[in-house]
Amino acid sequence: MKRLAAHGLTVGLAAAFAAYVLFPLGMMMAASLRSGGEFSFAHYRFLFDTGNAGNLEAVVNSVVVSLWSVVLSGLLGLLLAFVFTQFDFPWKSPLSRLAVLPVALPPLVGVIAFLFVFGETGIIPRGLQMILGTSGAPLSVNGISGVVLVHVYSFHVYSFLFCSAALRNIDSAQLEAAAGLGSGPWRTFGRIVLPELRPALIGASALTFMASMASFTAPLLFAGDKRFITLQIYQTKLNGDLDLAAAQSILLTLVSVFFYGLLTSAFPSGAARAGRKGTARPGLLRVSGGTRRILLAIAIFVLSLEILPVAVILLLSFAREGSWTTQLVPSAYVADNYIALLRDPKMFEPVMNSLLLAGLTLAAALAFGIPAAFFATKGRRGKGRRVIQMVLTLPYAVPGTAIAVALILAFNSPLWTTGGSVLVGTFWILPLAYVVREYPLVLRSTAASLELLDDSLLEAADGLGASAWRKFRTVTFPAVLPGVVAGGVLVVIAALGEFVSSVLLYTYASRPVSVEILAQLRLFNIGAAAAYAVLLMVIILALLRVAERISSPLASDRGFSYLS
Amino acid sequence: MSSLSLRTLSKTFQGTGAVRGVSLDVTPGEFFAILGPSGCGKTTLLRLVAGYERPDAGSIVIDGQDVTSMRPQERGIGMVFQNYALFPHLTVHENVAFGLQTRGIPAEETRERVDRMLGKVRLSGKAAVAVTSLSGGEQQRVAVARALVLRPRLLLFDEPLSNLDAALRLSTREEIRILQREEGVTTLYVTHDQSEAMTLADRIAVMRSGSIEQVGPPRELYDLPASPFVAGFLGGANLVEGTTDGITFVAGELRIPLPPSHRGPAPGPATLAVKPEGVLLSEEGGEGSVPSRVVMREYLGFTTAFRLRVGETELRSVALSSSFTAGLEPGHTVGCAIDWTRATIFPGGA
Repeated sequence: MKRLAAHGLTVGLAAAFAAYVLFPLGMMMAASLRSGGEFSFAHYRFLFDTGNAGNLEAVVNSVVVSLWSVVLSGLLGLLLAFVFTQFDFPWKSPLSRLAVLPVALPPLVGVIAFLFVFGETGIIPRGLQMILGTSGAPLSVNGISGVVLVHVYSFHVYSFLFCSAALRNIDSAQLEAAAGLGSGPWRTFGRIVLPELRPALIGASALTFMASMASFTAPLLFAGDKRFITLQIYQTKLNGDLDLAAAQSILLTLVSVFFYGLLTSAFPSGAARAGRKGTARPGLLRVSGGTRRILLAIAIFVLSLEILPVAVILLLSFAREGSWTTQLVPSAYVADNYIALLRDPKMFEPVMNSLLLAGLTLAAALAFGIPAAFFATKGRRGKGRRVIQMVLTLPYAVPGTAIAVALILAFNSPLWTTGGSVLVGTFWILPLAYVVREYPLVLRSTAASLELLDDSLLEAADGLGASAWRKFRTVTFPAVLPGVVAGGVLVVIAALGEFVSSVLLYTYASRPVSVEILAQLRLFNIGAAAAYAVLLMVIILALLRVAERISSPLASDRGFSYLS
Repeated sequence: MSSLSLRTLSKTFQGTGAVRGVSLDVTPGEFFAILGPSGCGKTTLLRLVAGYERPDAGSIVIDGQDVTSMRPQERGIGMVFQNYALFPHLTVHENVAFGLQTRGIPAEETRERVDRMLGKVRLSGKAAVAVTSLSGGEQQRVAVARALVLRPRLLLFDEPLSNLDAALRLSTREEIRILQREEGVTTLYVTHDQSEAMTLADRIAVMRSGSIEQVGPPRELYDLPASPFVAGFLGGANLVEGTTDGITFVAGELRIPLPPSHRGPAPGPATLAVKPEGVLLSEEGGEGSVPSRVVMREYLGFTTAFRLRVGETELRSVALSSSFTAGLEPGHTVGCAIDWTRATIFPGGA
């Protein structure tokens, strides 16, 4: 009976995976190889055609921007991680939370906040213009460098979190041994600390690269006339050439998946360590007072730049519409934006949509992700397990734009898997896109918790005569809960602010907050856009707080508490 | 060979004195052990000598040179850490060569010295191997080689055997002793294991609560403990609190006449420290013996250990296994006498 249920579950998971993940990706592949109804490489030839350089330029721009994002995010994250783990200074704990703030911002919110501060008409360029008395802004963030800076702002958190964890793990005895052997702090950093950070840096780099390649919002708002592959896909879809969009999506996906493979292979689980049996105290490098002061100053300057966009969004959300034209900051402040948002059902509709979408996405991601995590960790041993984990988490490596294209191609005709209806153009395509993209978050964090669950605990429970239900309730559930909560929260955050897939799939009735923010911006309703953004941030921060309560103290080891 | 002198060394952590006014003299080439229970301040003392902690007061002198304010790398000290602190991403050779390279020793000389040292610790064949793939014992030897290759004035060990299993501990102990003799390097060795200290050290300092209780060669500490604490820690002595009038020791129902060699402590509270092998068992009613009840017996092969009760007082005893000890079941009554060459009377409580 138990075996039958397990087999049934496995078949169900496989069927769902095939119907909603593999089938759309397969349809996208098929479409990319189709021209005029026949099998052809025409789209790919077109993409690599040097005579029509637009697509190649877009790929090159995306890759170049991603590489710069990797280097600069890595350096900045490492610097902040070094300062926060090596030095003691006042307000260290709240400041470390601010350092991860950008990761709690929905992508669109982060980008428009950045736009308001550093963009051509942003506060800082305007301020400099007023101070220096020049006719135009003497300095502003746009074009390729603008996109890179937005990426660094959003993605340096990866290397900050990864490097912080690795730095806290470095044994003080190793650093003392190096000092005792005559090695100065810089040499010790280069020869002892940096090699220890390598897995963290590679992991963060791969994540940053993938996120940068998939980035849509930053190029959309900052790139100007520069081409990016995600923008190309969007344009091609708007032009109605879905097959070419599919080929572009496949290209983007392949580059992303390549780096995703790099990420998963660069994280050897349970890496061997020499002589780490005793109690390790966190190691500190003895840097000079001058170096310390310089690094601290840089870190504080960077942190203040990080807080600025959030503060400005908060300020703008109280600005009276039309009161921010040529002034440094808006000239009049009212609560109208919030009142309108909460009172006007039309204004509140996107908020309700996003909340509903997030709820549906969470439910489906849990329903699929948790059993999949059990299947991926406890079902198989050895190499097969890693392959299953990689395949099951694959959709996370597929950029949101590509997922949207794949779903459009797969569900634009009635299918029995969709109850005989066409999903494109309905509300339901949105949660499906969110789930396909985000369930790997639940799977990964639940699987991580399950990997930590010592099988001998289950054996002990068996030996003590516990029933299967009692075993689940007292051993498995408490062990898995932090992972489930962490994954669930990330899913909700991603769903609440989702923009990249939504912008290709939404209808007016189903428009989520992110799409509405962009619409308000296009109408120059900056206050309304900012009020939506603040509302999203408040909901997300509240969620993080709740999640931390539920899963602490178990999850605090995994840097999860950092997110709130 | 170098000498080491500590003068009234003190170190306080958050108001708690970890090391309190410690003075010691270690002679050139000596193997000197610091022995004490965990938390007694022995590792702090070692870290003060190494330079990883700064003393609040006192001085550290190596070969007549005051090194108290010097940085660790300037002191000419080699240290072997409890967890070895090997650099995990470097090979065996690279680990041992690390200090030489830092000092700018030419590559050729570095290679020669590393090879020679790896030969000494029997790891010549593993020079190119990653340290992470070595066994615990081999890692330990790499750590010793890394410290010794710099020809330090002083070699420090911080509980280096505590991560090894029992059998490996014994063999590594011997290797450390042989290597130290060959290299003739003055050595300070911190441990909480009395057998390690007894077998390795020329002299031992017993530490308690940040202070030195007694310093001396192992045998002297064992036979002539200066305090009940030393007797208890080093020989596992029974410590019985009672009173004496100078002629008899009384603890509850236990009344023991003192032999002439042990008479004369001032009348008042006193502690009898008697090692388990000094609690002699005999047929009940033997001369000079008091009746006691067997509470527990542990057969250890060559010897048998007992827990005995005399009135309210509990005593541990160890005797060679024999048909007599085999017949002593828990609940039996047996005669119990003190071997006064294994016992000391200390004035005051334990």
